[in-house]
This record gives sequence, structure tokens and C-alpha cells, in this order.
Amino acid sequence: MEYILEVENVNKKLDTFSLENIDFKLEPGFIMGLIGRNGSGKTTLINTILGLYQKTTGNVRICGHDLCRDESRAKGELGFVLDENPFLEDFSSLDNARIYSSYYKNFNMDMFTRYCSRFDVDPKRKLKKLSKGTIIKFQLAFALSHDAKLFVMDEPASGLDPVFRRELMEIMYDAILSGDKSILFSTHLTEEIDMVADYVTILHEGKQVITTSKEELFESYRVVKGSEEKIQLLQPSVIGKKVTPYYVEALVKNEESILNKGCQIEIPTIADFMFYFSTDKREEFTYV
Amino acid sequence: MNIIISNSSNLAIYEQIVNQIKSAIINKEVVAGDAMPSIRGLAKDLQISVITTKRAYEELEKEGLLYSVTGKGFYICEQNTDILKEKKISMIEKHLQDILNECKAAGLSLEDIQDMIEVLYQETE
Repeated sequence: MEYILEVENVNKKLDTFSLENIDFKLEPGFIMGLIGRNGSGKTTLINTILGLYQKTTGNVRICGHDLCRDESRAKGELGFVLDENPFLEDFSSLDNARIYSSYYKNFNMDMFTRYCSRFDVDPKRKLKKLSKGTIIKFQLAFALSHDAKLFVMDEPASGLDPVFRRELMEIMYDAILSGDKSILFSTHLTEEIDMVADYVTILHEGKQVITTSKEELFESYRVVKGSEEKIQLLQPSVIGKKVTPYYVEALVKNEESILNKGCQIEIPTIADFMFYFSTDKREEFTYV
Repeated sequence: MNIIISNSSNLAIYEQIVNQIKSAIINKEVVAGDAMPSIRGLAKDLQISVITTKRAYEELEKEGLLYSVTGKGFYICEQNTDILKEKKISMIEKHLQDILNECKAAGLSLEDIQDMIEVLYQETE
């Protein structure tokens, strides 16, 4: 099977930060959420996948096209929405679309204007006069109008009101409906991941903590709450714990041995995974 | 057919879907040969991930309730709803057994338990 996105052992060194050995694949028709705290490397990874940063070592392929050797074909398959607007501020959405559409052989101007009106973007206003949310919507309209196979979005929901965030979810579902397109998006909001994401990659301090399907995550782990002594009984399964004056909470592997020890057992949330996988208090960690 | 997903349930989302589609089959809301919604369509409508709906369908396929046609989708199988119902009853019996154990531990008599069930039953009417 051909993957939409292949990230192979990618390393990127910046002055004060480095991405280390990032390695995952994304098949057609699925959505991957990239999560981690601020400064965990989400934007660096996205910029590297988009070719905005030169990677130090490793390979990135989009629909089988190598980002370095086959740059124009690889980038032709990419639609992006970035946190920092990459388009020209002194030009309107329409002019930006006219200028940048020449890079995409399948750009459809009709579709672009239809998306602008659907998203309430005034195509004639200069970008610098638009709110952050509207610039995101303009980028989205542009990305959706050139038949991209991979949508890469850096914090697409962060500048949006809750109503448009819901609409963004709908747009993401529609984008993968045909089964031949995929989405990689980063976020530190967990609601989006809870809903749309099929796969999750968690980054922490430039390292890939885990990449797995959300189903697998929810199946493989449990959050347990109980007294210190009771949690102690689960010790071999414990990945990390949080101690409060009234109870101890722990993320544990979902194993037979955690049952009937008198602890309250819950299915974890994405926020739980973010907490336990991105702190240094982790007691131990093994990949699933 | 209604499918209602609860985020506060202790059941995984795919299990909630599996259970509700089973109920729809038992209650004959869907019958043999009916096409199921596409996995991507259902994911969109329920606002959950594609992998979750896929997993639910695969689980139902494994249990012989759905069959898939490559390139087309999933369909309801011909089946004996009595067997499904029997399975459901044996599951309820298991739950009741657990509850009875708790009742005994709390020192309730058979009469107490019967009264309690009667009251609760009338409330749900």
C-alpha cells in the first residue's frame, strides 16, 4: 500500500532545540493528531514535513514523492494551514490565491471563492486587516481548492471560536470521506483529538513518545484512583502517578492484574495521556 | 436506528456502537440485507474516529452479524434473532448474579430484593 505520508528517522537540529528520530507513517483516509505541550516540537516537525525547515537527517515522502529529490511533486500534494500566516499580508485573499495558485496544477478558483463565501472570508480584504481566525479560514479555503492529498495543519483550531471549531471538524471529516486523503494536525486542545483523530503521535521535548491508533491507546491503558497502598499493589503496571492529599491517581497498563484490587478504574482521556506522557515524573515507560 | 454515544460511559465507544446495533437487530429495526452506513459516513455523523467505527463493524462481522462486500460496504446478515436474544438473556443473568451477591452481602432478603425490583420496574414503565 502506498502511504500518504512517510516520516523516516527525521532529525532536525535548531539552536536550542532538536527533534530526534521521528518515525511514522500515515495511510490514505485517516487523520493523525500531533499532540504535546508547548515547546514539544510540534511546529518544528510540521515545518520539517512541509519543507520549510531543512531536516538534518532522515526522509520525508508525500504520496511516495521524496520531499528533497522530488520537491515539486511532493509539495503539489500538500495543503497546509499554518499558525503563522505564510501568505502576503499586504495582498487580499483573492490576490494571494492568484499568485500562489500557479504552484498547483489542479487549483480551482471557483472552488476557492465558494469556500471563501462559505467561511465568511471577504476575498477582497488585505490579509493584515483580517482576524487570526479569518486568516486560518482563508488558508483552509486555499488548501481545499487544489486537490491536495495530505493536509497538514498547525494548531488550526487555536484561533477559532467554538462554533467554527465544530465546523472545522466537519470539514476534516469531509476531507477524508473519499478515503484517499489524509490529515496531520497539531493541537494542544484535546477535544479535537477526542473526536476526529484516528492516530495520535505524542511528542515530548523533541522526542516521539508514542505513535498509535487512538483505539489502541484507549484499550491499552487505564486510569486508576485509590489509596496509596492500593495503587502500590498495581506497581508493575503503573506508568506514572499523581499524588494528592486524598487519593493517588495513576496511569496503568490495562492488564488482568489491575482488576479487583479495590481501585476505581476509568478509561483515560487524551488529556490524561498528555499529562502522563509529557512529564518527567514518569516512573517507567514501554512502547505498546 | 438510533446510535447514542456517551462520553461518560465506562464502555469503549466501539462497544457502545456494537451493543446498539445488536439491539437494533434484536428489535428488527434493521433486517437481513440492509446496508449499513459507510464507516467514514458513520464516523462523521457520530463525530468519532474512522478507526472506531471500523473496529465496531469488524467486531460485528466477527460475531456473524454483519458481512462485508469489498468496495461496497457492510450489510446485515441473515440470522436467528432468538439466538441473539438468548445471548442477551445470559448476559443479564450474569449481571443479576453480581447484583444478588451484593444484595446478600448487604443482608437483604429475597423479599426486599423483589420489592426493590418491583418499584424500579414500575418507575421505568
